[in-house]
Amino acid sequence: MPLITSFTSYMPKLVKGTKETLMTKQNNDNKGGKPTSNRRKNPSDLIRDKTRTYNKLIDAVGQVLKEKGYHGLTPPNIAKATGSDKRLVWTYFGGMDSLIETFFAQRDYWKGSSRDFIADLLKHPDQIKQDDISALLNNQFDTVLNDVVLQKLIHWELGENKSLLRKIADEREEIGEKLFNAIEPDFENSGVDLRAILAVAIGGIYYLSLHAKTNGSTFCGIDINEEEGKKRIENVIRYMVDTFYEKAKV
Amino acid sequence: MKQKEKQTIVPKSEPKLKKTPSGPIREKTRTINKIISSVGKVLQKKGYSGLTIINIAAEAKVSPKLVYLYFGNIDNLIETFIKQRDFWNMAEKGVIEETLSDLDNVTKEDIVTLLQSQYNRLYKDKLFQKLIHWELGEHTPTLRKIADTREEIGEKLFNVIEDDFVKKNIDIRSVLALQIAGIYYLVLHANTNGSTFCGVDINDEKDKDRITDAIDYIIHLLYAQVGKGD
Repeated sequence: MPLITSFTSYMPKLVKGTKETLMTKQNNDNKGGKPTSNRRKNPSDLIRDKTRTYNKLIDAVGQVLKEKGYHGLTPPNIAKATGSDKRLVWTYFGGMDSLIETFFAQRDYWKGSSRDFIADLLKHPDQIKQDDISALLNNQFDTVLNDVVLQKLIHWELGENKSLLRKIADEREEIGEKLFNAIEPDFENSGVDLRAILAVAIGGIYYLSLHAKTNGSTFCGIDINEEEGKKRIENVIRYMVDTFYEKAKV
Repeated sequence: MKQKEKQTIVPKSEPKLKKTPSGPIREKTRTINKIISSVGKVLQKKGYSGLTIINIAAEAKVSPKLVYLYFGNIDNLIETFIKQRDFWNMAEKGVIEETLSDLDNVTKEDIVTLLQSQYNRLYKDKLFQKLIHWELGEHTPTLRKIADTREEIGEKLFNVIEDDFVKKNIDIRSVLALQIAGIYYLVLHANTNGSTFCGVDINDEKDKDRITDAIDYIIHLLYAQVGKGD
């Protein structure tokens, strides 16, 4: 491997015009965010392209977040991951905070899943059934369990108080609020505090996912890294929602 | 030149003056304890990413060299700290012991008390919150060991209560896993992010009780299903 790495840095002199192949080479080199600074400027920049660099910086936020968590979100780390100069963070974004904000604005952190799901349900608010609610919760469970960047974002929210993080949390609340307004009337006078119960359940989904993916130990003897353990949690979610709907006699 | 010499003399003599008041005789145990308790302070102030020898030594007002001398490395120091603090005892002191001491007779009230005392302890104990947050962010053998020890304690309890629920096809472990995890998440979220969650804000005393009631409600519901309700 080191042979190829040193070879590519001489590539532009030897082969001109095969930009496509050179670019893929460069991407392979960058895996793992290895420092590229002491290498010669990369051939993918045969033609300078501001937009490309701009996007590369934004993508790097996700990559660094995944690999190092939120503590790692610093201009030097972003620079390492992109192979560009750290000063570009300030040139293009005015600073790290605004780069992070751009990243989260571009990337819908709910990746459409839950938001679209809720939007669909709200088209016919009076027809929301218990199966819809358990499907929604299990859909969230799936999303968090499979999306490392989302896990890191949730972890960050639990560790630092930043206005950006607060904004993301508040936006999430707004989406949920619409749903609660639609289903809450069903539970009136039933003695079921739907919000409190779902708060515990959704918080539980987040925590279990994060715990399983980082700590790796079981939790109450359940390992949701195994298909069987994950199924058990899904079944309990369905069981609980069913029980509450039964209590409320919807 | 003369002035410069004077300046270097003054700061040199200062630490010597500071050292004497901490005790007439130097004491290794005292310094060791000071370093260990500084781990907690740093964790609380800066989170787990701030746990470096330099930060801990500065907090304890000792030389970083002493930390290496007494503990060898940072991992060793952290492990010592965690052992002392008894972090796997999730509930408030005594509650688990009490429940475990009378294993033949664990009632639904015991389970409710256990869950609620976990909720209350975590709610009050900032250091405990930071530890939980750390567990979610990093994978180290020490953290894994804490989690595993906690599991062992829980296992004793599950072995006793599980049978009743298995007969009725209720997966009590999964239900409690979700409830306990939910408690942890809500407390951490409320303490750092501060936004509401599902419209519930447990920084507010009234909403904090709503969560307590919801847990109480679920446990009673489950026990009613196995015919041990009121």
